[in-house]
Amino acid sequence: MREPLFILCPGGSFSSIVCAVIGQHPQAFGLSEVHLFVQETIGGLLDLDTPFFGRAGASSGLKRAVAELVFGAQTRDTIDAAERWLQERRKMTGGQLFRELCDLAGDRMIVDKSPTNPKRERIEAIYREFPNAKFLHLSRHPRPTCRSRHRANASGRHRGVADTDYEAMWLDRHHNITEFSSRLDPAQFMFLQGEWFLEFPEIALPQICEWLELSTTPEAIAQMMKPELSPFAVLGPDNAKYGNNPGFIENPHLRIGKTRPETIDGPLEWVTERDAYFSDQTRGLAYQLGYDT
Amino acid sequence: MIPTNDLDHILGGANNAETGPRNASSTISSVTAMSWVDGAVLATLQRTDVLTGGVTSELTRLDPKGHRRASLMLNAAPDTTDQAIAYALVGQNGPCLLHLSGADLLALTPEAAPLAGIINGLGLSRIDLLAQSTDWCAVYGATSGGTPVLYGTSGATPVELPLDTLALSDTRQLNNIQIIGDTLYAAVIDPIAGFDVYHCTLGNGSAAFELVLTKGARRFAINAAVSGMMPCEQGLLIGTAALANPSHPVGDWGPELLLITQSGSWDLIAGQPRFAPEGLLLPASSQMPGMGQNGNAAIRGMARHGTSVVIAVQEFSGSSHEDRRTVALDLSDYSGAVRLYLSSDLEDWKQIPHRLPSDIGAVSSLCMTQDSIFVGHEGLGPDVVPVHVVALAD
Repeated sequence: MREPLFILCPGGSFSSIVCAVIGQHPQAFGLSEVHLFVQETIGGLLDLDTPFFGRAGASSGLKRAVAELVFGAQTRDTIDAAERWLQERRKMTGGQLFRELCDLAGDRMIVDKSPTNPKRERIEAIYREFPNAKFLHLSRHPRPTCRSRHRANASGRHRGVADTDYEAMWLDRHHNITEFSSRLDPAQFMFLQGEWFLEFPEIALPQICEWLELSTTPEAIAQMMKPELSPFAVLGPDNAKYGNNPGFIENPHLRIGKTRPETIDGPLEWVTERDAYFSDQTRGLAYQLGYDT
Repeated sequence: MIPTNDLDHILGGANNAETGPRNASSTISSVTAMSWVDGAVLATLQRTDVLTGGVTSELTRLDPKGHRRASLMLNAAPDTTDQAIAYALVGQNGPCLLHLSGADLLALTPEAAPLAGIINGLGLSRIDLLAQSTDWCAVYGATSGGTPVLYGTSGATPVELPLDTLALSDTRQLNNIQIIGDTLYAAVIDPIAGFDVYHCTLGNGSAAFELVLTKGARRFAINAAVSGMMPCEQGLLIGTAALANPSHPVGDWGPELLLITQSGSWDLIAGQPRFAPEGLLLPASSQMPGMGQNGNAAIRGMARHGTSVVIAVQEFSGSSHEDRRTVALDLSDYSGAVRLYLSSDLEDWKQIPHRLPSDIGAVSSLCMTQDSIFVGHEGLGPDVVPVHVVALAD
């Protein structure tokens, strides 16, 4: 089994496209959002996936991943089979099941980018289970990250999020990741600024492959440039429709180029009741991650 | 020329720079430079009385154990006797030496005298930085009107170098210059985006700065400042500092050691592996930031002897700053415990054990000899010679 790669970042940080790109490497397999470290057991995650009182669709990504890896395709029938397969493993921990997925992937490196991972206790759980895994800290400027989360909220995908929570979430997640990184073996951890990756993928990708000990042949790199071919770049069957970022599914192509200029200064446009600005802590961490404007 | 050993007897190790009672705690003494000359270490000291603002300079000759053997007050307008003693202290085999004292450059060797005269003739209100090589000298200071200026000269008419490329501002300040051959390197502190290092070719009529390293060598604000630069056999060694402690420090703030090679490319000697436009950067020494120790520290001093290089890593001991835009650009905040590392090839490093006090004060200069490392730092008192000697073990 090849050790997995965990992409750590808050939601809205280009993780879907980066995961799909790396996952398209012939020696890798990029997962959908499996959220395997959210609950203690697989049963807990499956039970969470209920309408009204739970998080509907919480296990869609996992079902799609199992359908793909175990049953070779994503159809209504294989999603049902995946659910049964998962029900048989209700007592397993997320880590145990993740290991089984890695075994199923064979020589391919499993790549996980579940945005639920960068909570402190979940990072610890991942590290306990996979002490030799690789970790990629992915970042995006705090303003578009928060704006993206705010839009998702406004469109009804997230509920009960206060205006100030977006910034707090960006700060908390990146803080957790940077703190975690200082404990790791240097070969295990790398930082990637999402904007730089999107502007210069031809420079970044060979380096990422070199770090991950994946082939750097032009053929492999060319395959990585086609994230739209990921099995999770499209909607799933009706019984597991999403399980990945809807924005990525709408437009799964690698759009190479400079991202829109953003600023650390200026009022937060998603806070409507008063003038609000990024806190000194957010600014300090943003500077640390290379966002000086 | 008076033999230097005789001078030790004449000056007798007495402090001839200070007379009369002084409040010891009001004077900060700092070693500004040290060099190994004729079997002894020659140190220049600057003593600042924080109550009066008065600054005096001193040339001191230390024996291999660090004991002061002779001292000479350095005057801005030395008479012929003072000059002769200074020249004698430096010795006939000494390098071409200039010493910065307030707004004046003092020549410590006869060869340096014409250069000092030319630069002093510019009439600068102050000189903040001085760099010198065998053939070239550069000074950064301000005109009488307070405008920052940078001059380079090889003994002919000084050439003013254009600073507009450096985009200096309240938060971006030129804090380090160094010359290798005819190339001038200039490091700009930037606590928000990370330091920049530029270079330009002196003697070129249209000298213009070009970027060599930018955004803290792509480690951004964690590499806020270049805290030390030293020419070495392989190129220009650069030590970094995060500069001040944010209220919520996260991650690894350890300083890095970088090398700008003679071909103009650069390499990571010790530091954080990272993706970069130049390719995947892994530390050539396999040492992580801070030479493997997490924490906010700076590479404060560097010295070499033959092919050996020694660096001093010093911990931050200042107060926290909420907003990095208002960070005081004061490397003196790195005045905590010191670790010394030695290498002969920049790849294998070993830590040198020592008994330096943990509150030694900011390391301001290092000098390496065959057997020992002289650690010059800041100290309190009008008469102290703040130098510790650390023996190099086998």
